[in-house]
Amino acid sequence: MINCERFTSLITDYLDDNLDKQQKAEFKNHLQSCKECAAVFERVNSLQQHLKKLPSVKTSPVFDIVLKNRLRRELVKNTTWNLFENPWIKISVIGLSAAAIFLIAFFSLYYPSISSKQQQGFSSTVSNFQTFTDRADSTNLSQQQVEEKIYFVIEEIPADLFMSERQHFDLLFSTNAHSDSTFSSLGQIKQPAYTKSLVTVTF
Amino acid sequence: MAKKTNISTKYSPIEKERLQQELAKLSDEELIFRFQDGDLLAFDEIVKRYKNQLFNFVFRFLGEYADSEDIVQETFLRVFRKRRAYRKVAKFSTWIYTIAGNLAKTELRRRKKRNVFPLSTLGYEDRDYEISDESLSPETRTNTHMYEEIIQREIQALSPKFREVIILRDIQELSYEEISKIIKVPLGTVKSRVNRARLKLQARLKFLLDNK
Repeated sequence: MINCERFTSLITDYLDDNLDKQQKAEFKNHLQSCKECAAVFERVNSLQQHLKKLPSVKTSPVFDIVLKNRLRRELVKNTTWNLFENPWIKISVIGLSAAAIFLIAFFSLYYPSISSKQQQGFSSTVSNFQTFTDRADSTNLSQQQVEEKIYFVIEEIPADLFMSERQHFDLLFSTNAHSDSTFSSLGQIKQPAYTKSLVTVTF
Repeated sequence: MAKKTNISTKYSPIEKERLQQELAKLSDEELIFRFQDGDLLAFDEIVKRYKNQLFNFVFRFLGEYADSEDIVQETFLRVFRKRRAYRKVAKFSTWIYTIAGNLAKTELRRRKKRNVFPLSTLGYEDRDYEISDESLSPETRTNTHMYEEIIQREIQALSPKFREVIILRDIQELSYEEISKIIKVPLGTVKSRVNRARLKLQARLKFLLDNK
């Protein structure tokens, strides 16, 4: 025998025909013996019919128009976005962005520090030059040997950064190298402030 | 790389009619796959098939005409945006009902935050609450019979978890299996929840059901 609580828990299964033979028999027995449960069962059964009969509400006549407008906006947005699905456009955009970032980084970071880089690079060259001229004095090298080594030292000047200065340096050297100046005078290098003429070499 | 969507809708009237007739014969799943390939007429067919049944579901759940229509619109927009998210593993109807149901529940939570309900001490998930008279629109009042309006009010007085299952089962007439997938709860839980929802509703509608 099932009690009222068990009976109500089985109503849906009974209506869906999901009970086995024994459960169905017990359910029916309780249904006949308990008026309250029978009333509940009747109401549930009736409720189902009422719910099924509820009229199906329909969207308003403007539903399609409103939806189409919203979709049109979505499509425009989507089309713009789809441009980025094209790999060539994507690559171009990424490339241009990278170039822009590089240029911004170059102008904002490189230029403020270029004088210090010049200072550092050129100081090193000058230092080598001075070391060499000191050594040239002490080892009595021929003028040709000194010239070769001086050119070697000049070669160390970073060509891209100091091209104009290097030309100036070469010009000065070639003008004066064949003079009768002593080796020691080669070492007289003035290093003025880093203006357009970065270095002046006197022989 | 994602497939490119052909957004062209320029068909001649005769060609459009022929295509629409062809699409009407397809299953929901075939339609969404065609839409994934860029066929916007397939999307139109989906809207045609689902707009009223989704509206019925959302309206019965929320009880407010304008908000329900807005939610159904949003459902279709989500289907449009997320069309590539649909996979063959689920029925299309399950997928679209899940979207609509989630949006309706979000709307309900939003309303709950906005409104002051009379029985403020009752919990949201587990207990029933009363709804205000304003929740039924004038359109509803004029377009439905009195008893339908009463049933509608009492459905909305159920807690959302009972309301959802009884609408899906007894009004939308979906299978327990599909309801289980839509609301993501086990099949047995769905069955017992439907039974409890029916018992609650019959108790609330006793005066009406006993007199008819």
